[in-house]
Amino acid sequence: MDLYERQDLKDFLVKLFGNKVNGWNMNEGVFNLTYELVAESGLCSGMMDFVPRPMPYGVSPMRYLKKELRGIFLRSISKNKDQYIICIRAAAFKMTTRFQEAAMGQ
Amino acid sequence: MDKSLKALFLAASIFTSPVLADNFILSAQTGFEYPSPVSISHSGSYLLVKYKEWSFSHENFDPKTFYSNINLTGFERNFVRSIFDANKRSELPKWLAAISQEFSDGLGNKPESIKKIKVGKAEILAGHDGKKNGQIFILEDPAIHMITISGEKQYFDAFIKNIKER
Repeated sequence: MDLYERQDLKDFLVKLFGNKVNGWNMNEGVFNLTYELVAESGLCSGMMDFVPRPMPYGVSPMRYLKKELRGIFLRSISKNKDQYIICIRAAAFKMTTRFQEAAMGQ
Repeated sequence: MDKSLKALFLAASIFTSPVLADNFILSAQTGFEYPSPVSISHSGSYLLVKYKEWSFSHENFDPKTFYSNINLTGFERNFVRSIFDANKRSELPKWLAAISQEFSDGLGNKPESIKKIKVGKAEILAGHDGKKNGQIFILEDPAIHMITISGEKQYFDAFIKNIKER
């Protein structure tokens, strides 16, 4: 991820998880979990529009998505983050541990 | 076995023993015991304690940041209670009751897993989704502690039993 992509990802995650995100490394694992969170946010129908394409089972979204699509995805969720916070808060809450582990390289 | 190897083995067995328990002090009134973990990581006010099969995290509930676009100050205790008890939603403004329901539905806790107990003056509210996620909220004065369990229900149940009045 380039600098802009990492910033978009961080902006989105800070809204969801608060200041602990400032200590997180915006790496492939964190991107993949964010993609999973958005793609599986069944209650938030509007969020599904940000998912660029169905993902084959078991692949890394970070590696599967071409850079351009990845950038569009990250810009979309960062730009629209305020609309969907309430909708995906519980799903994000349940995934906090996985995000922390990924961000710490565990 | 030479002496240095024996010493190494002894040290390794001490640090991996599941019998050893450490004290986690939540407040002057409440704490819990936990076995020695594989790792501990920390980020901001979030603490993650990890084992081979499960993990738990601790963080204080901050009413100003739990939802980044809503300040829950003044409603935080009733909001937390309403996550585990739908009847408590009638004590909230309608918009907040709707958010509470959304959050509660999203957690997907099994009704039979919901626990409401008192340990000393602390009020404990907890639930587990029957898969790999449990949440324990400990309401004290002045803090609300959020503990999440990432693991099967047996770890969730054992954890709650270990919460003690100090």
